[in-house]
Amino acid sequence: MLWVDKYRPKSLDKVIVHEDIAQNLKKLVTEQDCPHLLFYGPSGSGKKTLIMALLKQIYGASAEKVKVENRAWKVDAGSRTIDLELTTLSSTNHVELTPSDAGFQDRYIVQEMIKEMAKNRPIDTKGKKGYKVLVLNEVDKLSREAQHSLRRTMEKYSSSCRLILCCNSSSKVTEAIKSRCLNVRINAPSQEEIVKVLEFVAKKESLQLPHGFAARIAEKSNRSLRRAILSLETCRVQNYPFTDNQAISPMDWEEYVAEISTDMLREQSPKSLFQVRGKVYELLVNCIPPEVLLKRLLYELLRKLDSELKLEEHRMRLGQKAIFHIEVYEHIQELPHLNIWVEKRRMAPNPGKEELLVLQGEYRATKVGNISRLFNFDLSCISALHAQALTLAALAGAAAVEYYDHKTGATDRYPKFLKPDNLTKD
Amino acid sequence: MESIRIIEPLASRCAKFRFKPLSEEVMSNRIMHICNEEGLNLGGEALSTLSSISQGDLRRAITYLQSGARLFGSTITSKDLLDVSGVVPLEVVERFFTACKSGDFDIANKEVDNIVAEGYPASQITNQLFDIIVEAGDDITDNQKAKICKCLAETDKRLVDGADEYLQLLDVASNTIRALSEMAQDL
Repeated sequence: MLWVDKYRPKSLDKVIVHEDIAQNLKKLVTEQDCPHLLFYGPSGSGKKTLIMALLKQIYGASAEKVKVENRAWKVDAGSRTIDLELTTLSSTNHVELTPSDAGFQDRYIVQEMIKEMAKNRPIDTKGKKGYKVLVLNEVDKLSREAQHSLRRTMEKYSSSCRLILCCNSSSKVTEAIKSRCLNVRINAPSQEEIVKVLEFVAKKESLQLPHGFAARIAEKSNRSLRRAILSLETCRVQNYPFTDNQAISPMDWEEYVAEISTDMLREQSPKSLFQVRGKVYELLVNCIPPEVLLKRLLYELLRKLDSELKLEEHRMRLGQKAIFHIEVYEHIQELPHLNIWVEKRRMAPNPGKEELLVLQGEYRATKVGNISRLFNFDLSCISALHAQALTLAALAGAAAVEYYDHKTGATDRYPKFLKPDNLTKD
Repeated sequence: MESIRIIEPLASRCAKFRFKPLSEEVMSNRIMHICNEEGLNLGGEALSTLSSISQGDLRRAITYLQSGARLFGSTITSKDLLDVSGVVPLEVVERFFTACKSGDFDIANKEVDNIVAEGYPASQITNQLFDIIVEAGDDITDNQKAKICKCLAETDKRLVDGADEYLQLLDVASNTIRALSEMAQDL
C-alpha cells in the first residue's frame, strides 16, 4: 500500500494539518444536519481526506465500506433517450462521482443521479440522519448547464440529500452554487507542516529521517502533501538510510519540459520548432494535461531567462496568457502548435508585428476547425456565425501570407495598415 | 438573470418584473427576524459586515449566518462571518498590490504562488484588487488605473471561461507592474 493511502487520516480527530478546519467540520455535523458544502483548494492539500473523514464522522464505520460500480443510466430527453455510463463509488449512505467525466452530458448525470438518490431516502428508526450525501468531484469542470441544473436540484431535494462539492478553483463555480453552500477553503500545507507529516510517516515506518532532507523534500513538493509523501517513498526505495544531501529525483515529465525549454532557448528555427512540437505531442499523448504542461514550461522559462530579459518577459507572459485562454477550450491537437508558435515568437530577438498577425490568424483559424464545439464565444469578435466564418477565412489567409513573407524575409506590408490592437477589437 | 438574453418576441409577450438587489435596510430586518426566531446574538458590527459581504444577496447572507451559527455557536462576531464567507482577507490583497508596486517581478511571482497555494479564489482576488485600485489615492494616475482595470476585466472574462488561476493572476501582476512603472503596453 502506498504511504499516501496508508497514512491518510481516517477520522477528523486524527487530522494533522488542518486541525482547525477538522474541528469546525466536526461541530458542523454534531447537530444531525449539515449544510451543503463546497471544498476548494489546490491539489494535494487534503480536500478528499477531509471529506472522507467527515463522512466517517457522520455515518460511522459504514462510510468506509465502499464499492465501485459502473452504472448505466437511460435518460429520457424529449424525443430521444441518452445512454450514459459513469463509475461511482458508493456506500450505504453516500455516493461519490465525478460528473464531469460524462463530458457535455454531465447535466443529465447531475439531474438523474440526484433524483435517484432522493427517491431512495434512507430510513432510520430514530428518524435521524434522514439524508444521504452525494460527493461530487471536480465541480469546476462541470459545464455551465450542469451547474445551473445542479442548483435547482439542490433546493428541490434538500430535505433528503446533502451535496459535498469538491473542486480546485472556486472561480469556475457559479455564484448561485457558491451562495447555496458553506464554502470551505483548504489551503496547501506550509513547508513546516509538510515536514511534520513526513516525520510522522517516517516514525511510523521506523525510518531515520534527517531534518534537512525532510525540509528539502517539502521544498520540492510545491506545497503538495501528496507529492511530498510520494517522493519520500520513492527516495526510500532508491536509497536508504537517507543522507542529508540525497538527490530527490524530479518527475520525468518535468525533466522533459525542462529539456523543451532549453531547446526553445537554444535555437529559434523552423527545425527546432518541429522538434519541440514533437516533444510536446509526446507529453500530451502521455496524458500530461496541457494546463499543467504550460505552467511548468512557463516556470522553466522564467528560471532560465536572466533578469535583463525579464522586462521583455512581461510581454511574453501576456502572450502566454492569451494563448492559455484559447487553449483551455480549443482542440487539443492544435494546442502544441499554437503554444510553440507563441514561444518562438517571443523568443525571437525582436518580435515583429507580422508575427503577431500570424498568431492571431492562427488563433482564429483554430476556431474555425472547432466551430461545432465552440461553446466559448469570444464575445468581442463574434456576434453572428457567418460573419465570423468570413472574418476567420480572411484572417487565416492574411496569416498565411504574413507567415510566408516572414519566412522568405519579405518586408512586412501589413503592420503599416493594421495594428494588432485593432485586430483584437473587431 | 439578464433580460437582454431573452429574445425580443418572447420578451414583448410578457409583463416584465424587475428585481433589484435588496436594500440594506430590508436585509437587516430580515436577518434580525431570523436571529430572533433562532435565538442568535448578532451585534451591530457583525450585521453591517454581513450585509457588505453578501452584497444584497439575501440567500447568501442567510447561508453565511447559518454556517456561522453552526460553527461558532449563537454569538456571532464579524470575524466569524468573514471566516465562513470565504472573502479574502484585506491584508492578502494589499500584500499582492504592494508586491506589484515594488516593480520587481520576482517578488510579485512569489506572492502569486503564495495566493494560489493558500487556495484563495482568483476571481475574488481580482474583485477586491479592483476595489483597492479604484479607491487608491493620488499616487496612481487615472491613466494607470484605467490600464489596470482593463487588464482586470480581461482576466475576469478569462477566468469565467475557465482559464488557469495561477497564470491569470501572474498576468494581472505583470500588467499591473507595467502600468505602475509606465512601461509600454502594446501587444
